This record gives sequence, C-alpha cells and structure tokens, in this order.
Amino acid sequence: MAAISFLRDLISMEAVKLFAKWNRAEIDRSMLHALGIREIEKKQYAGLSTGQKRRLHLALALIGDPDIIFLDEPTAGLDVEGRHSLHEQIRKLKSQGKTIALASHDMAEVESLCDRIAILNQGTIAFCGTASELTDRVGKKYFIHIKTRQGDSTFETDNIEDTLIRLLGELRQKGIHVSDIKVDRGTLEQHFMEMTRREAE
Amino acid sequence: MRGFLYGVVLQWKLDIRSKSLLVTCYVIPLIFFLLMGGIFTSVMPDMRSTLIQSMIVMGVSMGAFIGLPPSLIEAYGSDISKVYKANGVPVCLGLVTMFLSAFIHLMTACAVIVLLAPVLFEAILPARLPIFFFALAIYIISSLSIGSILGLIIKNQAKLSMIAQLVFLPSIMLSGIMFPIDLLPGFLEATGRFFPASRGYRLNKN
Repeated sequence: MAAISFLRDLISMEAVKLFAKWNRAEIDRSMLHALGIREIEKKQYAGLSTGQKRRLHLALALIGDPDIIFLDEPTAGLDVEGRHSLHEQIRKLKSQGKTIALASHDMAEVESLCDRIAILNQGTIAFCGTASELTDRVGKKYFIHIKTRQGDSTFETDNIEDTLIRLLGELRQKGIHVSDIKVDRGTLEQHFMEMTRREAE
Repeated sequence: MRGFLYGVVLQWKLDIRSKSLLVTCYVIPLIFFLLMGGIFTSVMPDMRSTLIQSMIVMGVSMGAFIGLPPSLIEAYGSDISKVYKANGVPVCLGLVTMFLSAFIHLMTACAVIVLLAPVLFEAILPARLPIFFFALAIYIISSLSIGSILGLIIKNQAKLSMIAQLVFLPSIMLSGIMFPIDLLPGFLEATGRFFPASRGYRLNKN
C-alpha cells in the first residue's frame, strides 16, 4: 500500500494472527523472521517506523500465500537500509515463483527488480516488455562516462569503438589525464525520458 | 468463525488500550452517576424511583454517540478498510466487533449502576430485572445503531465531534431524565420522542 494506515493500538503479532485466522492460513514463522517481524511483534502499530510498517504490511499480504502480489511504491519513505532489505524480500518472493506487480516511480528500483516493465505515459501503456527490448526500441546508444581532474563528462554515441578512440586521442593531445572510464547502454530512467520525449513529439 | 471470535476478543483488548472508549463508557458516566445521584436524591428524594433509569440513559447516550463513532472513523475514514479488503478480511469486521464490544462495555457499565445505586443512594431497583435488562439491551442496540451511522457517514473527526454533541445533548435534555418531559412545550416534547433516549427511559421505567 502506498498509504500506510492501520489501527494505532494494534500489536503487530495480533494483526498477523487476525489475518491468518481469516485466511485460514498457518503462520509462516520463517517468513516473519525474514521480514524482521519478530523484532516488532510486541510493538503497537503507532510506535513502528515507516520501514517497519511497510514490512508488517508485506507480511500481512503474504499470510494467505498469494500467487500474485501487488506492491504500490513499497519503498517510498524508506531509508537506504530499509529499501535494500525490502528489495531482498522481493527477490526472495520472485525466486519462490510469485508473480509480483510493482508500481514505482523509482527507475533504478524497477531496473533492479523487474523482469518485465510497462511504462505508462498519460494514462496509456507506452511500452511493455523487458529492459533490453526497451533499450533496443529507444536506440542502440552507448554512453561513455569519462572522469578527469577537470570533472566528469558523458558522451552519447552509436559507434562505441570510433568514439572512444577519438575521445582518448583528443584528451591525450590536450594532456588531460583520465582517472576513470565507464561505458553503458544508459539507465532505464534515461530510456524512459527518451521514450516520453518521443511520444510528446 | 475463528477469525470472527478472535476479532471480537481483539477489539475488546483494543478498547481497553484506547482510553477514549473507557472514558466515554465508564469513567464519565460513573462519575456523573456518583455526583448527580447524590445531588438528585438529596434535592428530589422521589428521584430514587427513577435514578437507575436516568443514569443508564446518560451512560448509554454518552457511550453510543460520543464513544463509538470516533473509533469507526479511525477504521473506515482511512485506508484501514482497504488493508482489510486487500488481505481477505471482511470490511464489516471492524463495525461488527466495535458494535459488539461497545454493547458489552455499556451493559457492564449499566450493571455497575444497577448494583451501586441501591447501596449508595437507596435507589429503587426495577421490579423485574430480566425484563429490565432485555429492554436495556434494545435501547443500547438502537443507540449504538445511531452512533454507528454517525461514525460511518461522517469522515472527519472535527465534524463528528460537533454533530455528535448535536445529537447527544438534545437526546439527554429532552429524554425526561433531568425533568419531566410533560413540562416541555409540545414541539420539544415531540422532538424528544425522535431520540432513543426518551423511549429508552420510558421503556426501562415501565
């Protein structure tokens, strides 16, 4: 749930038991342990942090052992550790064969977790497929990131060999020392921006 | 069934943790009973015959109109109902368990008043206690039903406080517990009959 809300005075384990009894499900202690629910099992909901609340809501969603799970901005408001921990849980669920529909504005999160991506633009699906299909559709662009003492620069190119040789030659002529170099196909965020830009045109 | 029973027990625990319901169902009605019981019976000794009924009307009205609705707003005025729905728990569970729990609390508070009034103020016990408690149950259910409607329709706590007072105060003032209802002008007497408090008072008296 994007919005976190529950009864303030409810103790975490009581919520788990209530949902387990209604779903006629046994409580999966290993799942609760993996989500860190054991640490907060005696705490009231009002006293939980944002990350703890999200983990509790995920645990409640998993009690009935669903085959399909919908997650709406699950890491919104979480710190780095909380986000990392939740991502680990999501990967575990994937490995168990669960189908997860994840809605997120965090492109890095989507790129890291998702096998297939659907991009919505103004209410319509602008793209649906894998990340590499998106890359192929947007264009075979490479991004060369060069770090020097003068600063960082990024160059776009379709021909990585020629461009890289030319750039390194120019920098050598100018006597500029290269401290780091990285080549990639662009991030999902960059592809998303490119796609929505093309749609707008 | 197990889920429902667990929900009822859980609601009972939540009511105890949430001091607001304890205050509106027990603390305020019992303090009112202890104070006003003494005052009423000293100023008007005849009130001993209707003291129990009067105090019960006050307690039930407070619990039903002031105590229950805020709990319902907390559950149904927010995303909590979505959490229930998304995870296979019936959305009406909150309403049913809160209603049942409030019913038990109000019955308990009324039983305390029935036990203490004869001892503290020489109040006259109703002649037929089983029928009295049956009538009391009907009155509590009707008051809680109105409280439930308030809590489900009004989504804002501030508005609820205002509207709950608009229902509670006339309910008490026009019920006949403060003064005989036939002393009121006709239209006020007629207005009073719309509230369950006046009917509950007469039902419990008879």
